Amino acid sequence: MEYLQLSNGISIPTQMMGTSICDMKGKKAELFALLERALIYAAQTDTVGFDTARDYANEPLLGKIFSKMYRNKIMRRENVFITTKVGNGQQYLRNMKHEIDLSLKALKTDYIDLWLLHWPLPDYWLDNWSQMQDIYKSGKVRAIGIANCRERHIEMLKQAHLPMPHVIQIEYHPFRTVPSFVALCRKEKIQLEAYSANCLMLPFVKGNPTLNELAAKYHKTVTQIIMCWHVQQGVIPIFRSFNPAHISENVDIHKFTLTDEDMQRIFALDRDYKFHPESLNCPGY
Amino acid sequence: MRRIGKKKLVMAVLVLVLLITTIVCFIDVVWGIILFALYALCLCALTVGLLLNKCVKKTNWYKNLFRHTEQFVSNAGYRDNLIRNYEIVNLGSNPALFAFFYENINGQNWSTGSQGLDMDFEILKYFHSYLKTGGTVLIPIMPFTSISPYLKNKPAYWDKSYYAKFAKILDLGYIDRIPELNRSKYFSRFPLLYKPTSLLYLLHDIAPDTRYLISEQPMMAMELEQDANRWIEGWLKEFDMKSLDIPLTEEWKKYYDESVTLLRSMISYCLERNYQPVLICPPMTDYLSKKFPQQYRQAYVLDFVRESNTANIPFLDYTNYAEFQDPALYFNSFFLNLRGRKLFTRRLLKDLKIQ
Repeated sequence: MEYLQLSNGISIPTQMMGTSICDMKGKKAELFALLERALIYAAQTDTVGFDTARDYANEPLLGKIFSKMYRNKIMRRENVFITTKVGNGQQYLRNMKHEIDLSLKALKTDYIDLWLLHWPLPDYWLDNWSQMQDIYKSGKVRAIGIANCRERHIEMLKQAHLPMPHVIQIEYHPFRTVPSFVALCRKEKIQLEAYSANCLMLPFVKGNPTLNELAAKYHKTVTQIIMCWHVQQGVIPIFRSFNPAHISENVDIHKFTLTDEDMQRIFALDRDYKFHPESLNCPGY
Repeated sequence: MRRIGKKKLVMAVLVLVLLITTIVCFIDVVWGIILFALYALCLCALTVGLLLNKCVKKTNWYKNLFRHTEQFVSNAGYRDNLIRNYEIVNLGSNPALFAFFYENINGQNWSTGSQGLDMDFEILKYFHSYLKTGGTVLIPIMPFTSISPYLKNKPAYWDKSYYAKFAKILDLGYIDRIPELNRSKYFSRFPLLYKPTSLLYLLHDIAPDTRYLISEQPMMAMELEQDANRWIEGWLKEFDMKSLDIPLTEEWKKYYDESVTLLRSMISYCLERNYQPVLICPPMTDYLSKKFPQQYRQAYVLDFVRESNTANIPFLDYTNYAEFQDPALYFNSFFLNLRGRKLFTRRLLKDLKIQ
């Protein structure tokens, strides 16, 4: 696995695996088993970055799976990069110290590699972000950030004289490239992470002529073209797949390079398409 | 704290009840039997109640309450609905519901029927991410918008069934923080519990609301005149006014200022998120518009817009617009029919230079 460096010097994997199962249908026990098998497979194939959140309700399960993997020497804690997020329900309580302790306990670890505010929840997030600074200084988290941030939130941080996040996680894919926001992140030395990195391979993604043409040209799949496009521009894509073949497909992207022209052809697909309408998850967003 | 599932909770209560009854049976058989009978009775009553509730939900009365909420795709549904990036949406009450019809453009009518400015704002806050960056938000201003917060004191108008439709389309966690909605959040599921008189609709239901489909004017001139009078009388009663000649007194100023603050916030909210808010007065027939004295329109509509619109966003006033004075474009003296709606929206999009 390759790494990037955050503004505070911490190394972060160039790709992450999402672990949310909350929108999946099926019996809980079966989903848990599926997740466990997928995580073990991913770890064995050199995927070391994992993304979760309190609202995914799987922190305790991940804690168990990670512990088991450390015990069985499948991986070591220091080689794993764990991201979790603090949700709106917890933000309303305005007690970040309590929330980080809960996450640490659930994930059975002494530190979190990256801790994010899941949403810039109006009226709460600035205060909670301020509290997160103290927790970062305490060493319980190695880096902090905000998910679903926009330009106006960066502006608010500046006005409040609060530090910039190390990482911002947003919905980012060829059909939503938010160029001005990406430029702002680069200017502020903020690492960008992309959720829904392949736009869930919706029919218009799967069938997109440009992506299919590039896939044929490079003898890769559309997914791999998209993943490579992310990594090549220094954005960390978060992919979610519990199928071993798909996990391998997502991470097997380091043996080819897209030309600048092809990168631009993918950028040109932008139509500001948000699969996740943010305001539904964070009213007042 | 771990959440216990509803099914598990019901099972736990039933097991507890059986356990208590069994223990009582061992102590005293007669009391045990009485308890069993009581529980059986409660269970029967609950079952009958649930069945009746289900029947109430099938009445036109119930369906009419939620008829204009189906366009909203909530958190639970967006994964199966891929339409995004609306170019234009409108908020507003019934006149807005019947004023806008988007053809050949990705737009959506966000009026649910009766809908105050405060609920306009809640809908905007919850659904705005469906809009494209730079998309247009039409904020309709009606004759009584400026003093509509007065209706919070009138539960006969803004009751639980009024708030229920908003509670149904907004997120449960979100509405917990809005007292009015919180009180109505289960209305859509248990209407019988909130409004026991709804049982009467099982015996004598009302007609389904098909106003949205009407495409011609069914009223004659005299009926239109009477209809306009009815609207005015209705509003006077609703707002406890003696006439429309009354000036903006201190009492009304309180509600007026509340609306000004709210409208300013809505405008700022749109601008901060790179949307284009537009204030708009939809048209009405002159049967109705002539009933409003000029000084009323000045004080309660035009001055209200002027005070609220500090950001200087576009304000389009079609109230007396000649092109839409033809009663044939309406289905009463106030609401545009399907044909009028299409014509007016086309005109509006042209004026906004969107089409």
